[in-house]
Amino acid sequence: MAVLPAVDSDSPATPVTTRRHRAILVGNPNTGKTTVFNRLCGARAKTSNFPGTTTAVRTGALKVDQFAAEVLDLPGLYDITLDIPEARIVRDVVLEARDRDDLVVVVIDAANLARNLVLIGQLAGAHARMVVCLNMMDVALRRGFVVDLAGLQNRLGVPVVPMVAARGEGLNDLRAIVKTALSRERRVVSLSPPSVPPPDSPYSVVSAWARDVATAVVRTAPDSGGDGREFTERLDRLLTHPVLGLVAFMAVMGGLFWALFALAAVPMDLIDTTFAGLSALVNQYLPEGAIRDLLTDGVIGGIAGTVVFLPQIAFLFFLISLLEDTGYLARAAFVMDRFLHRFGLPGHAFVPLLTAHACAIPGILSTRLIPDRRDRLVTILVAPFMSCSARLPVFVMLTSILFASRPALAPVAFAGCFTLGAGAAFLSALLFSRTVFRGRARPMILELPAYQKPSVRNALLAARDQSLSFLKTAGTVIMLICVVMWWLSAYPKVDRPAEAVALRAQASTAASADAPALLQQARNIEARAQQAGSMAGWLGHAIQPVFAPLGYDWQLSEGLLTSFLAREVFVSTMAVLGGAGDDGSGVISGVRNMRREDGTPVFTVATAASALVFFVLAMQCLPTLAVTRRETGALKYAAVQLVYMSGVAYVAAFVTYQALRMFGVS
Amino acid sequence: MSPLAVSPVSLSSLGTGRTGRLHEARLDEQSVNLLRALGLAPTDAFRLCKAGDPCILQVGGTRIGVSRAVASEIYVIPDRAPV
Repeated sequence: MAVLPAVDSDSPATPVTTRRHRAILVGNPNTGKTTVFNRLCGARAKTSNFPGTTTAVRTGALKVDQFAAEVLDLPGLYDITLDIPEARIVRDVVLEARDRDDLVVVVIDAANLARNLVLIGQLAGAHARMVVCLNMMDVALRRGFVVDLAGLQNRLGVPVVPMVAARGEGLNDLRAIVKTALSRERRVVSLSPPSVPPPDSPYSVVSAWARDVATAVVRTAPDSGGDGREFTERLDRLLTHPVLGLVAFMAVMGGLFWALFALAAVPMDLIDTTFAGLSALVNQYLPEGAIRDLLTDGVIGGIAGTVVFLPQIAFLFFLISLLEDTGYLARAAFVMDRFLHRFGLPGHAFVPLLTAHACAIPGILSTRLIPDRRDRLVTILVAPFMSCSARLPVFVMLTSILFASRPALAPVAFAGCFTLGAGAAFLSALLFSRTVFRGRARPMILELPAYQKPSVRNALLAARDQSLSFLKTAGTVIMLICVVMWWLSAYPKVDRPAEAVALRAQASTAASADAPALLQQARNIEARAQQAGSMAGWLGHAIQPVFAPLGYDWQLSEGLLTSFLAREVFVSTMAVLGGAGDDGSGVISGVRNMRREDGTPVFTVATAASALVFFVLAMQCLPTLAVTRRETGALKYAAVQLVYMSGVAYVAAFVTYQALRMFGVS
Repeated sequence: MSPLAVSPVSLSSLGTGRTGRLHEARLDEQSVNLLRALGLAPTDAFRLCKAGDPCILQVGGTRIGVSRAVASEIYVIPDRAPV
């Protein structure tokens, strides 16, 4: 197979006036490619799937004075001949770049030139316009390497821009070169020296060429030492130690979740209070009726029930990005490999499973990094057990209800939810490995990147990307479901109960100090009657017998039903059903005070704990099932995932509720 | 350069600090290609930074971690141990 077919390098290129300028970032993993991308594009970036694939590609906009170009950040890879999706994407895009006369910017690690030059040697066959970004010059210098820039440029036949992307050094030069290269109308920058390996050269030839070039342009021997290597080795010994490594892992993850709670608490309270105030304001100025109810219960209640949890999602991604930047995650993968292997999972599964804590969808998509199909299938099936960000709102609400009088215990229960989810994933993987997917996981091979100071800028941009993605979902699917839920719970209109009519009459004649309380009491009775008589009430009542053994009333059953599409909808559904915010209270306190038809609380300790367990384990995410079907190529795996997880969740929630009742907790 | 030992040995049998070159990786094709892409090739010397699980190698500017199971299938020709 021709990897990169050659073309006549003298052939004319498409004039720039007829197309949009585009620069494509390519490079090995751990070369700082994403940092270069973030420096070039700043906040003008978004993450999306590469067309026709499920591999994420970031696109952004570069602006230099009046010049503008689109920038693509392709997945990092070591070798374009590998039979992996990332290599296929890079091959296709580079060939397209030649035809479109785009600019390929190859980001390479100055401290690891011989290995990084292999990719340039392989890309040479495409004859696309190319610029080399020689990043991490500071690391190279620390290791005693001095790169002859002019010599490297001569040998490659393309511009070479030295950079320290983490500090923004060399950024202006790169921007200027990208602008100049893309502004020209013909292919004036191309790999053409005779020393470049011919297209389709065997790996050994390209590798030998890369080694020769590196030897010629780097002054110090690669294994010269004196570069902090001793520190790296000591730290590696500690962090990958069978016992100390595990202790360090637990400490790091514990710290991460503690920081998550500590940082997110203040903005969450602020958002909660703001929306409660907004709802009260609308209630104050709009007359009673459908429009006011739609605004307060449907729109504001729906947005509040989702946006209030945005700080936790943002901080989770911020902290994971910081951790990834330090180089620790690769070490953690090995620590987890020893553990995961016992459950029939490969160490490679660590990253998808960690990612699934943010969202099961990217977690499942990142299982493509797992080379073995059996390992991949097992990981895909169990990944949704890991507690994702969509579960966070539900966890926060239910743990707040469970520990209303002892808020210090909420983070402990929260961590317990994550542990329960992870435990279910591992035990399920073991079960699958011993039944339908018999066999052992593939052993692990991984590059261990250098330890480094994390980039706050990268972490902020990652948090921003994921927060926007969450808001986009909240602004579309969840909002729509909230409005539908409001409509279902608001119609058909039911008559005011006699008790409420009597209370209203009493309020009209009572002393002015007592009137508001009597009116509020009347409203609560009317709201409960409306909920029970509405379409949502009918649906909830219809399915309630299924959930009765778990302790759920029709409202809670209705919440579970609507959250099958997206589990985070549960909170906003409950907020709407419970009329949270009507009296100016926050979402959580409104839901906490919800009542059954007989006036008893919807959420007792037993039902709240049972619901919490159900949400930790249940497969309530339609998009995840769709991705499972697409990634496995078979509907049966999505069906197995749904039935298996729902069954486990139901049984575990049943046991929780009944056990608590047995011990007198209700 | 130190004279090479004659017979290849499993990487998992080497101690920390030993150096050598790859002889053969008895692994699946994808794993062999990945090791090659990371720089572990017969042409390049490696240094064993940490024996055990994981086994950590330094090849040029790259640190490669492999599980014990992988290390036991990688056969290397070690440089003669320092006296």
